[in-house]
Amino acid sequence: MGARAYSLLLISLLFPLAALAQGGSSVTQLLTIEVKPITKITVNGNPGSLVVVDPTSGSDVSAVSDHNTRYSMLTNLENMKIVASINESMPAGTKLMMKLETTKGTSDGLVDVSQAVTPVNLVTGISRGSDLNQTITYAFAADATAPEIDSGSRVITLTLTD
Amino acid sequence: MKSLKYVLAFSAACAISATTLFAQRSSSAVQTVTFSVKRSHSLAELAVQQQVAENSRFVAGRTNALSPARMTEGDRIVAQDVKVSMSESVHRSTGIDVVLAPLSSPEAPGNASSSRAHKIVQSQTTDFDSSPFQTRTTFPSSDQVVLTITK
Repeated sequence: MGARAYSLLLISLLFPLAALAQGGSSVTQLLTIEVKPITKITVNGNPGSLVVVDPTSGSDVSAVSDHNTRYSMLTNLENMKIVASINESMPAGTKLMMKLETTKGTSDGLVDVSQAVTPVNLVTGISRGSDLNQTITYAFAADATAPEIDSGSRVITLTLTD
Repeated sequence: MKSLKYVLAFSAACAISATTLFAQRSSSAVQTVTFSVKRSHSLAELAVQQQVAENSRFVAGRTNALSPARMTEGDRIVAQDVKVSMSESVHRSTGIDVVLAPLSSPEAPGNASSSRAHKIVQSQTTDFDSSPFQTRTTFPSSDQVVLTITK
C-alpha cells in the first residue's frame, strides 16, 4: 500500500507538468510580404502600310486608316495612363493620328501624334486590372501641300505609366 | 570613416531601389508605322486659258476651241497663245513632264528642246512662288495641240 500511495502522489505531482506540455508549444515568425508594382503593355505587330493617293487640293485632306493591330496591358496600380511618342516628326502636310480602345480607362479619342516627340496621352484613368486585345487605330492624312513620299516610316512607342 | 562607408552603402541601395521602382511602374511597346503619299498623274488637271486679242486678257473657255477648259492627259485643244495653270497636286509632284505639242508636227512629248513642243513644267524639284503655278505658251500658229503628262 505504501508503494501505491507514492505512485499516486508522484503521478498527481507530474500531471500538471504533463498537462502543460500537451497544451501547446508556440514559436512566432515574422513574415514580410510585398506586392511589387506591375505594369505590362504589349502589341501584336505593326500596322499595314498607310497609303494616301492623290491628296485633294485646298484645306481638304485625304486619309486612310488601319485597325489591324491590338494591344494588351496589365497593371496593379490605379490611375495609370498610356502615352505615345514618335521618334521623328511627320513630314509637312501629313498627319498621323492614333486611337486606343479601352475598357479600364478613358480613351482620348483620335489623337494627333505627328509632332509627339514628347509623349501625348492616349488613355487616362486606367484602373487596376487587365485590358486584352484592344484595337489600335492609326489614321494617316495628307493634304495638297504634302510632298510625294515613296516610303516613310516612324517608330511609335506606347508606354503604360503613372 | 566607418560611418562614411555606411552612408555610401545606404545611398547606393537607395539609388538601386529607386531605379527598380521606376522600371516597374512603367512598361513600353513599340510599333513601326510605314506610310506613303502617291499621286496619280492621269488625274492631274490643268486649267487652260486663251488670250483674247482685243483686250489682252486670258479668259478660261473663251472659245469653243478651249472646251474643256480643264484638261487631263490626252485632251486636245486648238490654241495659239495659251496660259496653263497647274493644280497644286501637279506642280508639287516630282519628276513629271507636262507637254503641249502640236498635232500637225508631232514631236516626242518629252523633247523640250523642240521648237514646237512646249514643255510646260518638268521635274518639280524647286519651289514655285505662285500657287497655282502658271506658265504662258505661244505656238507659231493656231493649231491643235495635245497635252501629255509623263513621268
